[in-house]
This record gives sequence, structure tokens and C-alpha cells, in this order.
Amino acid sequence: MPIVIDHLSHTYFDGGMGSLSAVEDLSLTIHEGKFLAIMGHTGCGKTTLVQHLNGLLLPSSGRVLVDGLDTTDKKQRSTIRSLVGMVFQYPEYQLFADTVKEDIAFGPRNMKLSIEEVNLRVSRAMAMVGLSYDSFADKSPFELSGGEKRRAALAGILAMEPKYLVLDEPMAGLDPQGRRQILQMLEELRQSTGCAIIMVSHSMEDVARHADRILVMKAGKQMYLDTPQSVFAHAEELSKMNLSLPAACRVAALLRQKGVDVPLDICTREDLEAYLMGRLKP
Amino acid sequence: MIEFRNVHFQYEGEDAPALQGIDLVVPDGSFLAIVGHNGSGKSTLSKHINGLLLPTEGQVLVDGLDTKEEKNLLSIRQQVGMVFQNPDNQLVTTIVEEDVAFGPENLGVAPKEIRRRVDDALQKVGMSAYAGSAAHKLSGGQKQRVAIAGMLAMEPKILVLDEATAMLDSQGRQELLQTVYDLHQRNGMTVVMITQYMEEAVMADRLVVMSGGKLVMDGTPVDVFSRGKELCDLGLDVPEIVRIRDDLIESGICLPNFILTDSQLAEALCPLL
Repeated sequence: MPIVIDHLSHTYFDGGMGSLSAVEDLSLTIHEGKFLAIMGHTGCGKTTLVQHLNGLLLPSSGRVLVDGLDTTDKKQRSTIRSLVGMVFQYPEYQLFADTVKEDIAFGPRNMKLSIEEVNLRVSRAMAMVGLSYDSFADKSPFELSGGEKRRAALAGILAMEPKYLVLDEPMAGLDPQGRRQILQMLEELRQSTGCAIIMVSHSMEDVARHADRILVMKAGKQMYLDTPQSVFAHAEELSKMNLSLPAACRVAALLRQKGVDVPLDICTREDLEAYLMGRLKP
Repeated sequence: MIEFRNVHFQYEGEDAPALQGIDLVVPDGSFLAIVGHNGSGKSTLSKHINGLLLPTEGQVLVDGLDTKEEKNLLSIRQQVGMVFQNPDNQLVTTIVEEDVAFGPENLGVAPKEIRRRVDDALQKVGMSAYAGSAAHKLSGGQKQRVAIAGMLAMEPKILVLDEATAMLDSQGRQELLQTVYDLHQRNGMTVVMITQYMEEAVMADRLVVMSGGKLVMDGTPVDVFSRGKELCDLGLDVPEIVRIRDDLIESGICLPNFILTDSQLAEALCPLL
């Protein structure tokens, strides 16, 4: 069963002075095992939206159903939180335990699993993020490098074995190799466990390459919801919204401006190269 | 001019040194970008420029002034403006213009002169319209520009940006980069920009690569980005445009190998199509 967002609106009230509508009448189904990217300007409502997915925020109107469970139903909240894992920006700031394994065990332990199951999940999660159990389990999280801390924090969420994993800018501040590792890990996770990925990101090349669908938000509303090819075909509108485009898409748009008839569905390096090779080396 | 002379640095309680024999000269008016993997020592290096960190061995000189001499620090910090990653950690007051005035006030600049500098600095970063606004209501990119204005009000010669775009969205990043580029072009500001984004490093006229506390590459962005394999081994990358360029060249399409930006690539491709 999917996550169904049904006519969701969320209004923040600012001390009786007025109200701000952060999400407005948004409907969307998040399918199992798929990769959904969410894009939009700071303040467009994407963070508010994702906080609804595990009931951190509750709808002002409309509803959110996680595998049929309504997020407003208090009795279902812990089930919903174990189904939907949330990784916030800079998750490494939330590391707190004395050792890496204790930190990762915190979530599954709260799910009241047996000690054996908790231990199994900790070692599985560490393997998944590429932290060797022998070298890292007993280290203090604070001895790790930036990229390792990020992966340890991710492992803490993965150990809860969520069915939906929500990540807010998971690659921010990492070097290119760290970014590649996180993306590769997410792909492997999706293939091995069927976990759905919902990722807020400004990293257009990555989004173009990995997402099944992209949701573009503007002022709390859905602007586009489609495949990367179809979304990035709106190059001009996206630029007007001050969103950046993948490099291949920018080059295609520039060529179009110069009168070259480039197809609209080019969004990755491979797309552009295949098109150019077809034209230049028939 | 900034001069690093055989600079070594080790954090207390750490086994490995963070900097190992850095020799680097940054002439006035240049735009230097520094890239390197997480933990390569780039931030440590940048904090040496205004004496936030002092070398364990070797010397750092800013316009000939040694950062190790306590009496030089005030003058060095006036010349070197630093902007860090987190836009929420760098503003100290609630109103934008008060924040910009904070630096010169502490330097004992006369009120009339402060007024002139604040107006001038806000104008240079394109934030004049927000002079009376509440700082916490600004976007991340706007906060970073106010942080730069606060530096400019102290009339520094050198601007050091330590991953200043890392927490911004694409618009905020564009705004900040454009501001920095204009300051360099129009006002001859010396810029040292540390970044994790290879696309940003393309703006600089010189690019150095750090790894394991050492400088391992030094050249123009064109030179450095022609060494894609080595960069990848160092945990880095080339800009996407360079990868497309190289793939096309490898497939036998005749393109100049100095292409770094999307407009250069489109320009070169157009006559072929």
C-alpha cells in the first residue's frame, strides 16, 4: 500500500497576527519502492510537506494515509513512525550516544525488538552504509570524519527498516565521493529491500539520473509531478522559478536558443551525448 | 598578499597533522578556489589566513604581517573577511543594518563614516532594500550576503569563503556567487573560496587541490580539470560540463579542450550542428 496525500493543506498561525499557508490543497500518491524527488525554492513548503509523512505535522485540512493508516490517529503513530524513516538535514548533529553501535541501536530498541534482532539490524545497517562493524561499532561517533558521521546517522534510521525513507538534502556539505556513496547506497537499499525513497534535493544532476518522478512545488502548491524528462522539459518555467537545471538540460536549452532543434526530453549527460552523437556521427 | 611558508598544523589530541608543509602565495587581486575531500585540511588552511588558527610550525603572513604576533591580529582581521557555512550562525544583531555596522563599530570608526560604509556595503551585495529588515526573516542566501556586507564594512582586502554556499538553495547560491564575482571584478577584491562544488571552482582564476593536509595540484581550472582521473582518485570530480566535453572528444567529436561552462560548450557545438 502507498502513502496517500489527499487534499492536504497546512497553515501556520503566527501568534494571532495572521496565517501562512505552507501547503495548499496538495494531492499525491507515493508508491512503494519508487524514488520521488521533491524540488522547489526555500520556503515553497517542501519541508512542511515531508513532515506530514510520518505525522510530525498534522493536516490543517485533508489527510495523509500511510499504508491506510491516518496520521491523525494517535494509536497508529508509532506504527507510522516505524514505516516512515526521516533523515533531516545534517543528521550527524543528532548523533548522541557513546558508541556508534549504541547510537544506531536507539531506534530499533525503541521499537521493542529483541536484543538479538536489534544487534542483527545494527550490523545490517552498518554494512549497508559501508561502515565496517569491526572498525566502527565501538568508536565514539565524534571520532568519525564528516562523511562517516553522515553515514552513521543514516544507519540509525535504516536499522528501523522503514518502508519509506524520507531524506532532506542528504548530500549537503559532502565532497563528491561522499555524495556518490550516499546515492549508491540509496539505490542498493531500494533494490535489496524495496524501500521507497523520498528525497528533497537541489542537486539536479542526481535527481535527473535517479528519480522515477519529481514533484516541483511553488508557494505550497504542486507545480509539476512527472518523470525527470517531462519535468525538465519545462526548462524555461523552472529557470523563471529560479530553480537550476541539470547541466545537459542547460546546454540543450542554450542550443535551442541558437536555433538548433534539440528535443525537449534531454535531462542527463547520457541523453545529451546520445543525441549529439546521433547528429554528428550518423 | 597572503603567504604560507611551510605551514604545519596539528589539532590537540589528534594523531595525524591537519596541514603538512603548505607553501602558498596568493597575490592581491587574485581569485583562488580550494577544493579537497572532507577532512583534507581546506577549512584548517582557511582559518590560518586571519589567525583563527596559528601554525604549529612555519609562518602565515598577510601583507607581511605574521599571524603569530598578537599585535598584528587586529590589523590582519580588518584585512581578511571570513564567511562560513551556516547562514544562521553569523549574524549577531536583529536588524540588518545594525549587523553590518557591528564590525566597524568595534573598530572605533566614526558614526558618519559607519553610515557611509554600511550603505555602501549593502549596496554592493544588493541588499540596500533590506537595511531596516529583521535579520531572521531573510532567506539563507540573503543572510550570507548580509554576512559579506558586514565584512565589507570593515573594508577588507581579502574575502575568504569557507563553503559559504553549502547550505543554500540554487537561487541563494547563484546570488552569493554573483556577488562575490562582482566584488572581485569591479573592486579588485582578493577572494579565497573553499568549495565542495566543482562547478563553482570554475569561476576562479586559480585552483588548488588539497588532500591529506597537502597541496597536491595547483593550476588554472582548465589545467586541473583536465586531470579527471586523478581528481576522482582524490574523492573529487570534474564539473558535469567537462565530463560531457571529454566524452564527446573521446568519441571523436572535435571540441576545444578548454571548455568549462555550459555556454562555452553550446558555443562550440552550435557550428557543428
